[in-house]
Formats: sequence, structure tokens, C-alpha cells
Amino acid sequence: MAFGELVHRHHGRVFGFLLTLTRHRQDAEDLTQDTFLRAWSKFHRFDPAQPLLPWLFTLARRQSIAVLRKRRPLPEELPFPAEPESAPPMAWIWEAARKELSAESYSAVWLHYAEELSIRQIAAILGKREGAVKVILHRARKTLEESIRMKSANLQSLTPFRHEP
Amino acid sequence: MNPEEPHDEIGEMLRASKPRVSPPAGLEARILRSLEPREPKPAIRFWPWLLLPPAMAAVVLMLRPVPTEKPPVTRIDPPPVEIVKTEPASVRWKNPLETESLALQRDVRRAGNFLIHCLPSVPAPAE
Repeated sequence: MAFGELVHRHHGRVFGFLLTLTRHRQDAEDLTQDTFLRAWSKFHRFDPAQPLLPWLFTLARRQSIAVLRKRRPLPEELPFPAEPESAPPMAWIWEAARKELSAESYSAVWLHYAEELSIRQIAAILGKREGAVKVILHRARKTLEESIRMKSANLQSLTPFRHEP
Repeated sequence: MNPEEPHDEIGEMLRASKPRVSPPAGLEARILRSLEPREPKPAIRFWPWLLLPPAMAAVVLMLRPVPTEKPPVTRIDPPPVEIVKTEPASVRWKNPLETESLALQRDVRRAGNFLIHCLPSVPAPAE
């Protein structure tokens, strides 16, 4: 079954994207199922010349609108790791992004840096203009940079003797 | 247009540590089970639905009875009998002089006929 193969290939990525929007695994699961049901019913409208994954992401975002209206508190988060040098800062930058960015900004960052989609594709998925997506990504990077600087400053203050030659 | 994004090092860090999201076990099977009884919906053609109401209206207009100009009147009392005096056509009141002239002409004809019929005939001259 061709559609079954489609589900097999892309359900994980659709789930990952929906997790960036909802930040709730159960909601992301339900919405992933709804997304593929919607894709099944609308598959005759899909242009095979276009990439499939952005189309699935667009359907997923539209399905998530109703769920996003119900605001749920974020789940409990573990603090950042205490050892600054053994674990590279890159490892927890995604965690910082998930914690400090809004759902819209985090999903834009996800689509651009994790899914490697273009600005144009992200704009179509999120229903925004390309310029707006660029601004969102710029602000997100700036926020993360400030967050890393603050964390680095805190860690330096905690371990004052580690920088001695 | 700058080829490099501002704060590009952040982007590089993000790309270098892409997280792997594991979907819940059984999610794929759950999706496939929900798809099984469903079949893709055929494309709905809506053009016949746009033409149907005007077509039905045209049929109704063609088949309805032609309304009469005067609605039927139900009379309870018989209408009153009207006596209309009509003059014969010969006694129509026209020009009185014309009537007199016609009468004189008739009289002349009658008198002439009388004279012709009543007077003795004049013998024919001998040869």
C-alpha cells in the first residue's frame, strides 16, 4: 500500500514537528493521526511535482490550530547540565530553544535547522510571509545567543578556578 | 542581501546537534488502522448543483398553467336583464335630405312605371 509507505517514512517527522507546536506528546500523537487522515482524504489534491513533507507539515499545522487554543502549562523541565566543558553547549541548545522560544518561533527554528527547509517553504507551512519568517528566525537566534552567554557567565561564576592555566 | 545570517554561529550549532525525535511506539500502526476502513473521497463536482436549481425553475415555469386575465366570478344573483333598443339599419337617422331624395326617386320610378303601363300604346305609323 503506497500510502502506508508514506506513513512509515514521514510519521516520525510529522510527530516531531507537531511536538514543537504543542509541546505535549499526547496532543502531538493525536494530531499526527489526524494529519495523516486529512492527507488521505485530500491526497487527490496534492501536486506530485511538489515535495511531500512541506505539504504534510502544512496540514499538521492547520490541524494543530484548535489544540493550540487550549493553553496547557509546559511540563516540568530538567535544569541545564552543570558540567560546562564535558558536555558541549550545542547539545542542550535545542532544549534552550524549546524552553525560551514561543511555539511559533520554535517550530520555525525546527523547520529551518532540523528539517532543513527553505524560508519559502517555512512561510508556506506557517502561513506567513518570507520576511516575517526571517525576522522570527533572526530573533530566535538572538535569544539563544543571549541565553548561551548568560549560561556561560553563570557557569564561570560558579567555577572561578577552572580557567587557570 | 547578506549571504550569511546574523548570529550564524547559532545556526551552525543548531544544525550540528539536530535532535532525534522518537515517535511513540504503535503510532504508525494506529494511523494505519484508522485509515483502513476509509477510502479516498472522490472529487465532488459542484457544477451540476449550480445548474440544477435554474433548470428546475425553468421546468416549473414551463409546466404551470397560463393564468387568465379575469378571475372567475361567482354570481349569486342573476344579472339584471337589460333591454336594449336597436333601430333597424334602414331607419338609421342620417341626413334627412338624403332620405327625402331617396323617397322622391322611388316615387318618380313608380310614377313612370305607372304611366308606361297604364297609358294606351301608340300605334306604330303605317308604312
